Amino acid sequence: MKRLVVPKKIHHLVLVLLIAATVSPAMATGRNKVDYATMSLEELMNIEITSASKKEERLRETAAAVSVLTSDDIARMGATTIPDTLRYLPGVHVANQDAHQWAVSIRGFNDIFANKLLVVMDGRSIYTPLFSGVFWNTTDTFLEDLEQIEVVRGPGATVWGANAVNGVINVISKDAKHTQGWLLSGIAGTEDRGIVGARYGGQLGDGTHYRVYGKYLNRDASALADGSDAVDSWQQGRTGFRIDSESTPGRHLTLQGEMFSNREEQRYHLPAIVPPFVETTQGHQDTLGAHLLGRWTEKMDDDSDISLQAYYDVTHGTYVILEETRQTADVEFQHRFRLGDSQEIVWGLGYRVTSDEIENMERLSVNPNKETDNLFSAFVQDEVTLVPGRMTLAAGSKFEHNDFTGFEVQPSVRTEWTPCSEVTLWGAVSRAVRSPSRIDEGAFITMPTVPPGAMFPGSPLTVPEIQGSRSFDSEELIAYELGLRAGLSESLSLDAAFFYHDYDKLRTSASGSPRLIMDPAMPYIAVPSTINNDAEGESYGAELAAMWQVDDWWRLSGSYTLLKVKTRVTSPASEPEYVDEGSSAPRHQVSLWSRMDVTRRTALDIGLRFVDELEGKDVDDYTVMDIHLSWQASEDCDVSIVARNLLEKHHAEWSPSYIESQPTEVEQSVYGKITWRFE
Amino acid sequence: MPNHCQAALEKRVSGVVCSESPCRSLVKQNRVYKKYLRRSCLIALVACLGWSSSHADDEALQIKSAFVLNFLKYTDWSPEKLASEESPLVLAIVGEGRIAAVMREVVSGSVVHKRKVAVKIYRDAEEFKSDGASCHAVFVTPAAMSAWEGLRPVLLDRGVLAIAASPGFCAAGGALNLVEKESRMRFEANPGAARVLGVRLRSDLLKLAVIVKSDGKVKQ
Repeated sequence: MKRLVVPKKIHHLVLVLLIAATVSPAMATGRNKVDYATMSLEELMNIEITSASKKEERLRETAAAVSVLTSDDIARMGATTIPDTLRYLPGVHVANQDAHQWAVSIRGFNDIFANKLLVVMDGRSIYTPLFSGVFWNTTDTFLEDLEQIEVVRGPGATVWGANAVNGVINVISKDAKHTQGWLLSGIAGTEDRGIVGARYGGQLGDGTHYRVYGKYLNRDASALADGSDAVDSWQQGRTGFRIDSESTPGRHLTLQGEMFSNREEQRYHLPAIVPPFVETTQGHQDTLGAHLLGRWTEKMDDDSDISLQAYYDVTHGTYVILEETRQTADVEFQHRFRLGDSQEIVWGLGYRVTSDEIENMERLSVNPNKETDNLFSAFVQDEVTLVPGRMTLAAGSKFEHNDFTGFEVQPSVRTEWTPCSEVTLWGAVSRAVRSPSRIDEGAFITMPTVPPGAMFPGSPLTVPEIQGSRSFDSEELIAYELGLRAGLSESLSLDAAFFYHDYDKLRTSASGSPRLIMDPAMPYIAVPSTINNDAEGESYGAELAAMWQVDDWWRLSGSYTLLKVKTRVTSPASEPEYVDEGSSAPRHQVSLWSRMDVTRRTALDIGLRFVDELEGKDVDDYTVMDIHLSWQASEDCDVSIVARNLLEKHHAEWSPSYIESQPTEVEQSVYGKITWRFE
Repeated sequence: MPNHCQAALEKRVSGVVCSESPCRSLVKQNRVYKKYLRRSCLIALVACLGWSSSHADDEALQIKSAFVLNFLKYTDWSPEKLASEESPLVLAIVGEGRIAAVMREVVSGSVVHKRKVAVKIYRDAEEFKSDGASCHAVFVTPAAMSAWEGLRPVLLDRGVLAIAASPGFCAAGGALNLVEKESRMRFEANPGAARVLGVRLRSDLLKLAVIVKSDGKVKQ
């Protein structure tokens, strides 16, 4: 009898790698360490300081829970999609629903329709007003050209605006001057069947650089619980460009654009009023999209700068249950300056208009099916140095006016105290709101039917329906956060954040009067529920991260996340959407990541992750291992092998809620990658 | 064991309830296995936190340290201050932390003006004041910057080159200050302030620097 699902071979592989990791100091010939002490001033002045160290310095000065993934981290994690790069970060929960849909959230309330997280790519909001969330399947780019991914845990609404409730994920691509020449990459593997990408970067004139790129992705279907094919394969083509110009000192102009085409297989179990009361539909989902963004940044002097950014974004999605075309135009202005010796002020203005056209289908309709919504925003934040080098206080607020709920104020106060060098304590109190989506306001959703006799003997066929409501208000949060950053020794650092989130006006639905529908196929009872704000709740937890530079060639990092969420209804007639933390986020998450430069040309990275069960979703806890081994074959060419989701043959991470696609499982996978850079 | 339970377990389908004893024991074994994995993760993390080590790899701090070493090479002290060829050139660092540790590693033992460079780290300004004025140069870490105003009078005309990496240091009477601009390290110099401190900055150094006067005015 096969009791454990871990194949022996993988046990052996893991054992060998762990032994290698512990005994390999002997192998450590050290990286190519630069001896700066022998360099002249001119040589030192020519060295470009990597963004990692810049970020590290800036991070230590931020009074918020922030993690940064550098381009090197992203490459060495071996992840092939943006959500997968976030899996090792504290406070972030990433779960695959199927091969192309992710539930990603920070500090709970997770779902594939999670609505309390803001995602921004190069200044462009990825958030869709359709359901206040993110289509992760279309959130992609040429990953090799990413500069970094910043993850802010906790509200970021004062600067970022509505929907930055529980966190912000900010994806930033490299300046075109840092992506010069050719880069060709190819991936072939068991799940990521093929990902090919090409980029060329060149110069247009003095101080003006550009790059053009394209990629194609083909991902295999995931597995059902019995190991069979889940019919959810994914293909994507994407091409884009970026131009950066710094021909005038202090002035930076950026123009970038991208277009993509996405095709996924998807199987849904849709409600039906004839036996077996469920209809299985299988089809393709196609999304086409494009955007164009321009940004002008002007440095007035060392202490002040202004920036103006505008973008236009269009997507057309044909899903099995809905068809949507959306156009968004956005313009933002920001000004930063110093006031006296001790104050730095940042203020900004913004306007966004988004217009949609929805083709309603039987299962899901949105009324009205065409709408244009405006969002006006302004923000100001003042950072005051109370004691130079020791204590700062930042206070500010975002003021927004949206067409759904009108005026919203989202203030925050943050303070940071450095009692001694290498120790920083910070605290923050902030308010954020999640503004209503088109679904909240005007959806009509037919939920899975309850067959005759299922509730009690002789009970009639029942069809629950959910209706949006124009009176649905914003969900509100007041967050209290405390954090500590400490360099415990020269090479050991600790980052801890503790939070208490107090939510009000959370989404619920209240049942209305049942009505008898005399359908010719079969009469049934329709039970309508209307969306309202009759819930409140709180969450609290801790996010601990540690980084230990064991030696020049070996870095270990680990994180632990504790999360508890409690919600309750404030009106007995309402049903809560989130019953407890077990339905939306794991209580415990642990990750460990070892990065080793085994030789000058060989790197070995091993990651281990534990994610607690989701009791309310019938998803077991799981522990998996990821391994990345790379070898620099020549100056131009890197070869790597990545094995992901080891230890279990396949494991479930999520089960669908609102819309009944099938529960699928993530399989073990292996891929090989070649990257070739040349002029 | 009932077939449906075994199938459920192997296929990892949860939600199947069965009370028969072989089935319960199998479920228990599965839980024990998971508990073991969970504990392994936690133990590994705790072990990781508990160990200690020696090397830090921080490029930016190493670059700053190399600048400081170069500053020593391009500074002239009075013959009295460099009286003995046997005694080392002393760089004092005020404020602890990684920058201090990295700077000691990079600078210590180098030879400047035919003398070995020795590095002394002082926890804070008070500790430095007690014996620091005998040094040839002082690096004030960002953490100790708030103490600079009180420190400067102690150093006047004592032949101590004052260096920092904090905005406004040269305008506040410091001699040399490291600043990061557009991803590259640059430095400011206040030759007047250096003279008041009793050291002379060589022209080779000044021609690469952004010159700042004590009133804060910048001359390129």
